[in-house]
Amino acid sequence: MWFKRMNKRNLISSVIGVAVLVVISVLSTKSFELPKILNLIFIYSIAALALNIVCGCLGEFVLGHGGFLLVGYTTAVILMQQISKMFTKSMGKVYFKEILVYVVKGGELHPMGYAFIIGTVILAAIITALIGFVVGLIALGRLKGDYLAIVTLGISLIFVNICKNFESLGGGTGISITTTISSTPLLNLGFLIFVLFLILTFMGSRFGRNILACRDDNIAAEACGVPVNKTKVIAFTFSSLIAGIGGALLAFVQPQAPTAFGQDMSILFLIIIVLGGLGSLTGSIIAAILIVLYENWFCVQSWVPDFFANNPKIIYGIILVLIMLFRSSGILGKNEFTWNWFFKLFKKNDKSLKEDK
Amino acid sequence: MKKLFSLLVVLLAVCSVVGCKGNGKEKETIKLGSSGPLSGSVSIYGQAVKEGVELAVEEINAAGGVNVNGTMMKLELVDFVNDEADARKAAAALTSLISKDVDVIVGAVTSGATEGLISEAVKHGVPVITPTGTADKLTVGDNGDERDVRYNVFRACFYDSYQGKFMAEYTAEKGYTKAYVLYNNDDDYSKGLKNAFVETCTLEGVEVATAAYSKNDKDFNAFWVPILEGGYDCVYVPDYYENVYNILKTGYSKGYAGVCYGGDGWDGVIQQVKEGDDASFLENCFYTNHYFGKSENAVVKAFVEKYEAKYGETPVSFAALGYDAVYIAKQAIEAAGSVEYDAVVEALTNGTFSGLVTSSAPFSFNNGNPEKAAVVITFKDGKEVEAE
Amino acid sequence: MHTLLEGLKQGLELGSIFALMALGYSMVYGIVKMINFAHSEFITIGGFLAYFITEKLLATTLGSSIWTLLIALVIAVITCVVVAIVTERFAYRPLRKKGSSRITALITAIGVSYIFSGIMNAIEPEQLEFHKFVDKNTSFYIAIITTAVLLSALTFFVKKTKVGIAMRAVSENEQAAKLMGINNNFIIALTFMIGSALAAIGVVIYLLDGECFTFEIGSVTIGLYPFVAAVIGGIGSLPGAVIGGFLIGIIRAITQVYSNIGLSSWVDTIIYGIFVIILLFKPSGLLGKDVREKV
Repeated sequence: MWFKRMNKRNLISSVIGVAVLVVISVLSTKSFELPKILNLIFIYSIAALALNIVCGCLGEFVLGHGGFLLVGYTTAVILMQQISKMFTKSMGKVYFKEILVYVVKGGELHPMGYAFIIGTVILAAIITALIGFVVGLIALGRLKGDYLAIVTLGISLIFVNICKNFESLGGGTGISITTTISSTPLLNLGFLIFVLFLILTFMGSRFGRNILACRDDNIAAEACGVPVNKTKVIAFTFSSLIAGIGGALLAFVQPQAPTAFGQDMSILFLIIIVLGGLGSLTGSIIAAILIVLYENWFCVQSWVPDFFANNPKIIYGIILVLIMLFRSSGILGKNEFTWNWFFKLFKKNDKSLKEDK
Repeated sequence: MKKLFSLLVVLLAVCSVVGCKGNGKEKETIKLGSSGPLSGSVSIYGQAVKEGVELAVEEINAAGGVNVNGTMMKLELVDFVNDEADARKAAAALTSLISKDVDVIVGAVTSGATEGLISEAVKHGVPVITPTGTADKLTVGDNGDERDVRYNVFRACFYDSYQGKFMAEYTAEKGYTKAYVLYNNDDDYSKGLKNAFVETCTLEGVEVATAAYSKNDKDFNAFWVPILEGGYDCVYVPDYYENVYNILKTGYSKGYAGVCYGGDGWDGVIQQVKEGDDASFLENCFYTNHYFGKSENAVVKAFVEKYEAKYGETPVSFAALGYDAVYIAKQAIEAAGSVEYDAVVEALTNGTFSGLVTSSAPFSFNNGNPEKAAVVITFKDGKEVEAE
Repeated sequence: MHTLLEGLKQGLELGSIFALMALGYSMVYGIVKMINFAHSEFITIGGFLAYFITEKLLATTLGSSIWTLLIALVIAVITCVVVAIVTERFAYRPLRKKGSSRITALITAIGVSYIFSGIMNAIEPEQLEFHKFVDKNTSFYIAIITTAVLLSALTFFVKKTKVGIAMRAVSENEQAAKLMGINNNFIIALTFMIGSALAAIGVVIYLLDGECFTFEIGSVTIGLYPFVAAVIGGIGSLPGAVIGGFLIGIIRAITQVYSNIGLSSWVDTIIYGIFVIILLFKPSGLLGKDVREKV
């Protein structure tokens, strides 16, 4: 397994880091703004990781990521609405609400609520993966490069159009369940760790090596016996599975209209993975943290000029162009985040650390 | 070690900034918070509401403030957050307002943003009075059964179904047997009005055809073809005034001669008429509104005069509703005799409110919706007049 | 029947405008292999400038004459060309020099498009109404004739003139073209200039009959349709772009004239559905050339 190959000190530091995050997540429910920001950080990270599998690891370019998030979101809302209806009928509304309602005046989420959310998210993710499989099967075999990017964008706009046209799938302002049940940072963190584990395991397996081979050289990989088309479809399906998890989790955090999942959201996640570094998992997470903090914390501060809150497009555009011109590999490039810099704080001349790199 | 220490300090500082939270210290002012679009394509509504709210706050403070159990407390508009009509930003706006210790939320302006704001507001129980969020679901949920969750949400305006229904009955009353609805598929306001209109028309025995355009459509020539071919003489256009004026102008210039009906989003159509434009077709157009700005009612007159003196322009109904929402909050706090969330919510639920610009008669809330009547407005000689 | 004819007429008008814009996308893609997302912002800039110039000139003695329109058009075209050159020089050329990947180029294009779009939003967030120079009927003929003339001129330019041949050479094989003594940078800049000039002309014709528009005219109202048209017709093929433009324009207008049976709310699904299907069966577009991948 991949973690056996990891530097021991890094592994331990990561575990400690995760433990700190768990404690922060649990304690954060006492504050107003923190849970929201943490939730978004975890969910954006998951969604960005999903896109990074296709763009960074497979090297194919997808502009329709928002569409898959939308599928996850919508399925989760509909499933939860059905569950809610079913239980309301059999258990009576008041009793069911007692179990589920975490939201009214901020109580604690009942274990049953956790179970419902986890179940819904997994189901929604599987459905998204199925749709992703079909799309991948149709598009990936025949198209590549910019054409693939535009076709996926087209497909995601079709998803948006369909959801927009049916009131039960979202309509103009979207369907939501956050007033019935909403998730906690701890749950989202759990999913993020689960997704990271899943991706690392997947990328360490034979499939993962095939995917990297396809990215580095399509033709050489095929010559070596890698089933290129099959590998691409598998990667795409896996990516939409993760995207489904991200989209479904979003449903338990904030209401969103189908149109919000269009071109702009797809591009937002593209910005995140490019900022973090294509192919770098931890890079995506760091970039997701930066973007969420920018949108939800920095822009609402009273000391920040209105210009930043009112013109995010100019800021994003400038960031994108500057990164592309001067550091086109993003914050971390293809490398992963390690704790070495942290240890360096204490021992300036430790040579053994440099070898780790 | 020094570095580690400085790191810790930074971390703590960040935590304390992000996670700070007001504690129950003695209050000196009543804090209002609001949110609406101040930039983007619908910023004009946000501006109008903001001006109405600011006018009301200023006026109440000039009159001494709000009487809370005998002590006069001043109102303070803590912040009017720019949510760009976006649900995500409105939700973030609410959390930032809560952290600033607000007592009442007057917002948000558009329905979509209000829904986002409410999704957070129900967690905190803060009373929310949306001046202009007209979507039905805001107060009762998607399926109409969530009033117990959204118990703290109220609105100062009438809701979409009411307007659609009102206009459909008006249509039937005027003797039309077939009607055509041209609505905006990207907008819940437009869809809500359309649904109610179609439903009531069917009940009243009026035959209805519908057509959807999207927010990308700015050229409506093609949309008028089926209307002219089908020989319709009553078209319902539930949308905001920019699109509406464009649609009406295109239609009448293509030779349409029937009437056009609309909802409160039409408020502002008259300002769209440019100098030299022939806008006589507007005399065939009628819409429902919250109030009539040139009415002889004393409250309305006083409001319009003060507004014109302060901002130098005629108030649209959004400004009047923003103004009224603040007065509703004031009356509720006075009735509750406290600024505790629950007490104010209860006062809103049970109280009766009077002396408002957008309702000449006193009203109370039913499921968070005010029970008040709409007025029908039409145009004559380039001016708005009340229709019979 | 009358409804269908009306739809076709409006479709042809819209289609010829899409075609003009698609030509820009197609030429730029053909030569630098990059989806120029900023093209949609060139459209917006052209529209904005034409609007502001017209508003200024209407107050003068020129009034609502053809001269006002022509001056506005020329200034819009010149500004668009300058913006295109500046964009190409400072954002795209450095990337080419470094030999960056196509993904980098595309993301830069998105970034540039975001910057322009944001600036335009900051300048004028509200809906504007263009001065009505001609009625709907005249604008139909203007659109058709302009497209026909410009397409023939462009075809002649690309096929017969020396610069046009150099242009085709660069798009065929950049390295070889360089070795033949062609100034690649000049040719690429020229392509950008032609593309943005066509965008400006297209948007002015679009607005001519008193159309309403916002700062999103390029990125949302017209949006990706011209690009989709260019891809459907086959990137790099001039008649292909025009065919694609007409196809998209007609589909859009037909869904609108039949809006009473609910077609108009499915316009995105129909257009992108057709787009995906065409690409699946003909990955290089209707008139595009198939290129085999070689080691």
